[in-house]
Amino acid sequence: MSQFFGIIIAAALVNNVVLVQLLGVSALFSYSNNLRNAIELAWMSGSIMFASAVINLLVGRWLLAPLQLEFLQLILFVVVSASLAQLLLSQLAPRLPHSFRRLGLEFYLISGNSAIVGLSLLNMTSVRSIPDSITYSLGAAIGFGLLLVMFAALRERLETADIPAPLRGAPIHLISAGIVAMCLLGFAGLV
Amino acid sequence: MSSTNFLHLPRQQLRRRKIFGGIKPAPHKAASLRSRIMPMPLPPQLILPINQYHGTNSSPLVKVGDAVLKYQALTEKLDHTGAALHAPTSGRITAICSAPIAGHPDNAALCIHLQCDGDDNSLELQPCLNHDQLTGFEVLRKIDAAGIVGMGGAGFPTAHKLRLAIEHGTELLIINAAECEPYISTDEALLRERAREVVIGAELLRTACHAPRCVIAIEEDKPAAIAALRSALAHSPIELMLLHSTYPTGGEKQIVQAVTGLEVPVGQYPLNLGILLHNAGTAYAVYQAVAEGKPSISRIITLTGRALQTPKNFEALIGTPVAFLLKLCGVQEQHHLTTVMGGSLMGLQLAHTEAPVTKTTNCLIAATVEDFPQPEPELACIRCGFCAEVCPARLLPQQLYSFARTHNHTQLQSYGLDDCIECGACAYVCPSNIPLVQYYVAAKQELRTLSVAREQSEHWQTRFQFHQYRTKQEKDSARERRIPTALSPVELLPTDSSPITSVQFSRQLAQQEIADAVARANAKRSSRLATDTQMPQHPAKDKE
Amino acid sequence: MITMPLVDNFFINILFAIAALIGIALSIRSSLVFWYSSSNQQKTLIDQINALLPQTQCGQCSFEGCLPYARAIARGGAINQCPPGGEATIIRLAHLLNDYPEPLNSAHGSIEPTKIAFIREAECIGCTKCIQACPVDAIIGGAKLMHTVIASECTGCDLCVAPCPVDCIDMLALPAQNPWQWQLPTELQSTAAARR
Repeated sequence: MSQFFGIIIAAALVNNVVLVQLLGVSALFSYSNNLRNAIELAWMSGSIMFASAVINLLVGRWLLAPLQLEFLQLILFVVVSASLAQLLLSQLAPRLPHSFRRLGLEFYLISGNSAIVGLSLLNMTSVRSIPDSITYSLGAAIGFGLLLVMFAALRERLETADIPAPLRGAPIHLISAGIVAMCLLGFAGLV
Repeated sequence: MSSTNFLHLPRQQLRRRKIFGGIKPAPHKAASLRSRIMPMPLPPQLILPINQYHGTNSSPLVKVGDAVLKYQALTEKLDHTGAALHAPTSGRITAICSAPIAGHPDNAALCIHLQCDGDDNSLELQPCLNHDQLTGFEVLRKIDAAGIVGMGGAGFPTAHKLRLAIEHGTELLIINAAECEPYISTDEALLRERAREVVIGAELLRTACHAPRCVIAIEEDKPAAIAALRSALAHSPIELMLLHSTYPTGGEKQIVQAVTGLEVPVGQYPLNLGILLHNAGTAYAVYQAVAEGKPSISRIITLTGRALQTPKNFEALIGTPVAFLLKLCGVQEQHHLTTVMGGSLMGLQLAHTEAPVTKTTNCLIAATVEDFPQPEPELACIRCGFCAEVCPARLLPQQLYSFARTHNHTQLQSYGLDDCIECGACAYVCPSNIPLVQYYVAAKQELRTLSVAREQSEHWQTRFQFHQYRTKQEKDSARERRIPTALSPVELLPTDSSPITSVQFSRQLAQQEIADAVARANAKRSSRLATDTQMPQHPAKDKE
Repeated sequence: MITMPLVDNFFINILFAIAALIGIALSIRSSLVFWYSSSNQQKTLIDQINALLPQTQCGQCSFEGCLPYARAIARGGAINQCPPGGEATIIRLAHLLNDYPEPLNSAHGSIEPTKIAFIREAECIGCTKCIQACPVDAIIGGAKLMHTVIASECTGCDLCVAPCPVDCIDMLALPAQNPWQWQLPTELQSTAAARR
């Protein structure tokens, strides 16, 4: 049991997929105005990430590896993530009207982003067993969602901060992302 | 009846507590307490606002040109929000018109202008020497007739408050003599000299509301007043409680907490807990009304500030212009920068000194630049959190500030902006000199405007839905008549069969037609105005 | 599977496990609230949008009333078509829908101060055409009888002006309501700066 929690913590915080491993950083700046929309986005992206990572893991370990078709992994993972994103989001879209409206087509792109493909590739190269890898994907998805929510709250705070004019908007968000990444480095060695 | 039962703590003293947060500013009260309360000479003219404050309802009983005697009733109340007004001195009514007064939303209100004749002829009073044998109902009636309102600053009619207390059931009466705000010393001066009368007034209030227990709560940094109170309370069942001298202990919810330890829940009043509060000045007015038969025509006002040569407390007549009082204290115009009505933390800056003193004015500060120096420029919030430490309502001023700046109305409401008592403690401690209370007052006004607009649009929506219902009903009675909701299929919405939709549908195409019609109507109107002198006025213009 | 403790100390593991369980329980509870209400979300979104619209039922947005426009917005329509709502409504709709606020679409009108209708009774012929046109029944009167507008109910939609055969309806501006307006200190500074 503790190994389960240990892997979740490791994936969510210590080796956070966005800020420590620096995959899919674009998802951080899918500007959601407020916390409620960010929570919706986090749910969506998290579930897609977990689902795609698990499917890609199983496909990769049980299909590609025995048939020695590892060179197809990148294309396969992209196709699987994108179609899964399309499928899941068309089901989820009526339940999440706030996000769907704003993003439109980007809705699908943002949710099926490079962090998912990166996570699937990482799972392929790791020596973890399948249950451990599934746990790792769950942790990564939780970490990703957590980060989206955290950044939305940060943006709400930054709205009223007294920021010098040249730094307003994207520059201060990038600087904040860097500082939060440094903070996450503090988790190193936890697990 | 509420469940808090103070009867079961018989002679045990209620323990004093600390309020949340609070600040300890310098009191600045010594200057005005150097002398006794002075009576006021008669001013040449008195300006008496008919309504206590915006939204109350009284109507004048006198006309322009009437001669009135002192204590004569000038207005009568139309409902429980109003209070009767009595002539503070004899004279003649010269006008009943709009005059500038302080603190009114429109900065002007309907006032009775009374020219004083200097004779001070009064009506026959009916004092009551056996006031301790009166029943509660008789006391209430006398208070009602005297037009007493809360003298602490709120101005709520005392009789109505007592009626509500009797209905709900009161267990504890607290006489609020805390007077925590700097510069104000009216209650202290009153208690120093007339403690016996205040105690009698408190007894009368207790009779009126049938409260089993009564406490006079005063801050501990007023030794002379406390000594006078102790000797006045020697043979009285009323208890005395000394409170920590913190600002804002004197606030309604804060003093309930300091005296009883109970917190008044959000959206409720101390009456919901069975606790009735009255100001010490109100208790004195009750004594005057019942025992001496005098209606509410004067009150103690502190005149202070470095621009005055002789700051003191006056027993001033209601309606005295502020300028008259300032001159009596020897105001030095070359140093006089601003006049503030109220204390230094919650007072209102007066635009001019022609405004009259009302029943709720407790202090006038004629300030120099040393009293109130130029405020330093507002800097960025450094998120130090001092404001949250001192907020007596346990709010988060920092958050409210950022939500007010971004006009985030949902968050403002969920962070409790409605519970802000606007005491100013947060702005007092802010190291960045941010005028926080201004933000909250502006945000509250925005929220109020929004809720008014929302109510209006809901009302219009209901009327529109009824209109659709009625039109459908008229058109066909066989089919189902349902008010369309968000999920109704499109067919149930009004179709071309109803005449209104033919106009509405064509709005887009008929934009030009509508514009032409408006232009024609305007042209007709201006031609009529040129020829016809009997043009009826717009009905809304008659509202003043 | 080898179970490694997270930390060597047994009690801290237990503490950690309790904290994790509480965290999971709380997040499940709040997500239950979220999913429970999401089945009503479609309906409440339209109602939420409708609550932000001014309900003047004027039709300037090219829909037959405010509720149809709210439905259109929920289906993806533009949010900048309501002149009586003004800038404030566009901003609030943008905030609700996670969208970008845009300036008012001038094809649908321009932002004007609120007006209410006034019938010049001397010229009214009692034809009841304006009564039929008013979406909120703010005009009272009968056939061949005097018509008059109830000022407190009029929304200023000016749908009554066109049907009137004798053009006796004026749209007059409301008298100033409450001149005492507190402004946020930042706005005061910027207006002062602009004046300088």
